[in-house]
Amino acid sequence: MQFPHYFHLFGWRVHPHIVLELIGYSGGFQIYLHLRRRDVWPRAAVPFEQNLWLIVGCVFGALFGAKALAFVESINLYRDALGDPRSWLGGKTIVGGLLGGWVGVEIVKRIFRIRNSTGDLFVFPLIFGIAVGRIGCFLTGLPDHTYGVHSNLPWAVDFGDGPRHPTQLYEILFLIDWGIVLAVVFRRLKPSNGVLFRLLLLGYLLFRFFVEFIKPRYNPYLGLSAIQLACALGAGVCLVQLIGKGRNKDHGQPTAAAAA
Amino acid sequence: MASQPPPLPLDYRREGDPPPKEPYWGKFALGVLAGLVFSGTYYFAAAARGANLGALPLMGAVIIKLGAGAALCTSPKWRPFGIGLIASVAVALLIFVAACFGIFAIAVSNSK
Repeated sequence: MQFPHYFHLFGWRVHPHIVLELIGYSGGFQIYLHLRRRDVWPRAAVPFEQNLWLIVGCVFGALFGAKALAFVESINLYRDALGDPRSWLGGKTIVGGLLGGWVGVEIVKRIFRIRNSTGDLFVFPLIFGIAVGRIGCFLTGLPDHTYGVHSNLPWAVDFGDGPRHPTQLYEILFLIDWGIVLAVVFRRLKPSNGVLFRLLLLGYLLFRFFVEFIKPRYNPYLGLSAIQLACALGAGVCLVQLIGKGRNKDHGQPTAAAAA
Repeated sequence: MASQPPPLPLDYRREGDPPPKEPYWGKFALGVLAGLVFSGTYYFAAAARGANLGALPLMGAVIIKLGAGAALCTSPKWRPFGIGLIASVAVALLIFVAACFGIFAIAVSNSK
């Protein structure tokens, strides 16, 4: 298999990242609409127009977070290209996107004075979107810089410079497994509003923290990379909030606006 | 005297009835799609003409979409479409421009 593995659509050679990200975003959005229509998490739903602005806050926060963390993560490489504006456009990280999107949503919620947790509706759309997007990362190969270090394991993949850990595939497998765990948690334990979202982030950020050790990285911060620091910080916030929710059971009283 | 918020709509559903139908998300989705198509067309056309992508041409699609989106938000009927246009700015930047590593490359080429 050659990398990048381009798709050929209607005579055009299309980069796999674009195709898979489009599928990830649109498929995740459809899953979100389906869950809303089925009223699976009534306490996480907010009025229609406010919901649209939540999505705007989410995507802009994700954009800012993804790029900011990508820049800090590889600052040793970007530093030499600061004069080229194109270097400012490239680069993104899922960890930065998740944390930035979360902050973006919280900012919009403050503006509209929405107090109930809204993240649970995003859990399975996020799992789908990230997993599908990672297929694009895998098919891109070396230029994507999301591969692992060299390895002699039987499942190591040669992206063009020798066999490496296919960390993109590890992440897809983790997301599928964690998604199944969260679905079981939701059905059996009926957790309070906001718990499922924080469990998703906690699991994913811990996974990313440890998988980064088998990826080439710039680790000047006490032996850790910027992504690992962000993962540790984000996981810590999630853990604190989960403990807080456990102590003060969230009864999720719907707001008057949410009933409209 | 402070104006009162509008009264909540009365819900005549009986127990077990399905929840009321949601407002149509199609206008928002169309806004996002329209924004993505516009961005794709704008930047591929610019690249195909070999345009020097300085700051202003680079931000051209963003400025146009933000302006159009803000204008449409003033109309209650077109507000979801306008919000979709605004959201498409970030979505387009994430999909078309921000490759995982700083590669600013036009990803589509004619293989014929």
